[in-house]
Amino acid sequence: MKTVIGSFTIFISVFFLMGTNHLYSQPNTLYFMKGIPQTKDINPARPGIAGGFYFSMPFLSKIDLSANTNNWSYNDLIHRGSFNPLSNTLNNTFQTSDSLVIDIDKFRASIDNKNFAFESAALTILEGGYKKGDDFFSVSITEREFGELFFSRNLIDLVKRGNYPYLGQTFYSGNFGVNMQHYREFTFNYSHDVNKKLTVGAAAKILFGMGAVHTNGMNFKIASPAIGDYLDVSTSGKVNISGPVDFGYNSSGLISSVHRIPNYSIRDYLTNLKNPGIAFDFGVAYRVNTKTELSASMIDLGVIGWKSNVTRLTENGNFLYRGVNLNNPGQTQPFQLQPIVNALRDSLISEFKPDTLGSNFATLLPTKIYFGIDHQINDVLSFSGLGRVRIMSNRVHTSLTAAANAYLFDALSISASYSLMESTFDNIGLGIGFKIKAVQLYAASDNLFSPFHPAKARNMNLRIGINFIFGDGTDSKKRGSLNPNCHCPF
Amino acid sequence: MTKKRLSISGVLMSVIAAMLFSCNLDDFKLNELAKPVDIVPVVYAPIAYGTFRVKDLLTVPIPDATPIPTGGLSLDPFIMGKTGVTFNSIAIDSVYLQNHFTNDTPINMEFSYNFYDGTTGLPIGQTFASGIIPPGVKDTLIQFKLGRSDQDNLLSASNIILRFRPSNVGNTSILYGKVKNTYFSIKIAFYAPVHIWKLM
Repeated sequence: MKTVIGSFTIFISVFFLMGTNHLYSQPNTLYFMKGIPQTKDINPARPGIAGGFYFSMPFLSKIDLSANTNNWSYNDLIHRGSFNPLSNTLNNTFQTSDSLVIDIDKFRASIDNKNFAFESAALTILEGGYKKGDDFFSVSITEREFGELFFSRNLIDLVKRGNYPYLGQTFYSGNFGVNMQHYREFTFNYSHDVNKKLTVGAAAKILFGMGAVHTNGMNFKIASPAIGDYLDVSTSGKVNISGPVDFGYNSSGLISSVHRIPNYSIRDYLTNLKNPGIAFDFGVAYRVNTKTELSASMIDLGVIGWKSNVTRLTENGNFLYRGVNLNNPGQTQPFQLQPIVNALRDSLISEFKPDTLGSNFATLLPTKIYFGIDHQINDVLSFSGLGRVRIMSNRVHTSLTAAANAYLFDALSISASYSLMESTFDNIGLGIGFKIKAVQLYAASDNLFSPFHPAKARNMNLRIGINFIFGDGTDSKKRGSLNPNCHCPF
Repeated sequence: MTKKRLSISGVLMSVIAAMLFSCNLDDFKLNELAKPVDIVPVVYAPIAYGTFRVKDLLTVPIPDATPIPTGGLSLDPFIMGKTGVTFNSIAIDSVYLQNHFTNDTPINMEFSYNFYDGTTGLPIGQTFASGIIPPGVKDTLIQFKLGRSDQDNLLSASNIILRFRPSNVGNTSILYGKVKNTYFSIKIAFYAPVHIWKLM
């Protein structure tokens, strides 16, 4: 028992001493790990235990953290400078190898036409479940948040080059914006072994939104003839906001300030039940023969209706700017530029002022679809493959993972994986879980090396959790062979 | 056997956890960000435009039979008061004033800019002159570079004066009556490289 506590203490100490803010994740590697009840989070038909019940460590049941981009990294934009005496002289710069530089050329070369940066975090407050006979039940409470920033390369080009190089063309910004949501999730999970080959599962999730920012179709274009005698600027898009903030407006009707709603406490925020939502998970696992299993799942098919503290901004403007008309200065000479400039400014404000509404809006969750195959080589080793499709903001992101899974010493579950994710090819992952008596710790990441250099990382994720499992009997090889649907160690 | 298993598990998990958190965050220390950064977008915007008949810019009528003088005809200048408007930024070292000129008159045209001090009535800095623009030219580009000192002059000026001057082609003399209802036009714009780092 002392050894259990010792291992546990070391692990927890390292975890917290190093800081949870360095963690990242929602790993595919977890999908095929053996004997981990939380595999049902990715496929509700794969509960991971053969029998008995479990509950997780309160307030540290599991932590999911992830961050990924479409194959660009922080270091592509900001990195250590390289000393160049010639360029320093010419440009009067002070860049040295010790200082950080913003390298927009490198960044532009690294990105695609459409780009994103995604992050998510989840903390499960409490979770418990049991499996009896052919049925598995579980419930959990989880705080979740995710955020996505998306932009086009055109927008970066405009920042880098300005609008002058686009004379004679139409510049399209492409869609850009942010999507962020924070919500609480109450999950009720059920799976049933239909027969020795087939297991089906589903989860119903009751959601309560805490805050959201949702950008939809925000973009602009600038058209001009080759000689540049006018700029034709058009903008469109929507921004929906639900959160404890008030907007201040100036006399022109433009947002001039953002401030917290008076007397709206953190408690009010965290106990807000006015933004309800619902989501479902579906899963199926089919054992083709004694060694091979096919599985599929759909996770987070859901919606949240945002009703409290809602602000909706709709932008749809067009302005043809030609400058001052010298034929009609509107007054005798000398005519003053200031009234003309002021009139121009007022016209711009009027044309591009977003319409503000307070009506409700809804947001979809980022739905994930998984397809998996798991082939058992022997009692210790299995090989598996997983395809994941993530649908977010009307864009599809795919990943493929191959994994080798082993179960050693009746206690140690290890999965080693390689993934192709969002056009990145350097994702070597590892999942590890061990169970000592009733205590189970597990961790999984799809990219083992990215935490060493987060500035260079394109994919970072980690899931970590602690369970207490009773009466599972998964340490018995015999038990596994009697329960072909348990997805637990054999 | 059990102790061995537990030790292996404990050590392995601890090593992995330690590895996960041994990350290098040096590149996130943004207080080490060097200045300047090399982002210099070039901003362009039209300023003014106009199409005129020669007679539009003469408040004092001239008889049609009057020949255009050898030195050219002085038309009424455009005087633009810039009080309250600032054309100056520390992020802009040079401004390029672009003029697209179309000369549909049968004679040569010239134009020029001056900055004037409203109090003294004296010009400040240099004159930006187009040179001769022959008849029939369409949208020819004439560009002036306003350096730092020119921008400072513009900042201190209260008026910008734009002058147009029609003149004879070669030694031939043409009567005002042949010219007065013909058109010329100008489209004025600027572009300027903006050194973002100077704004930071």
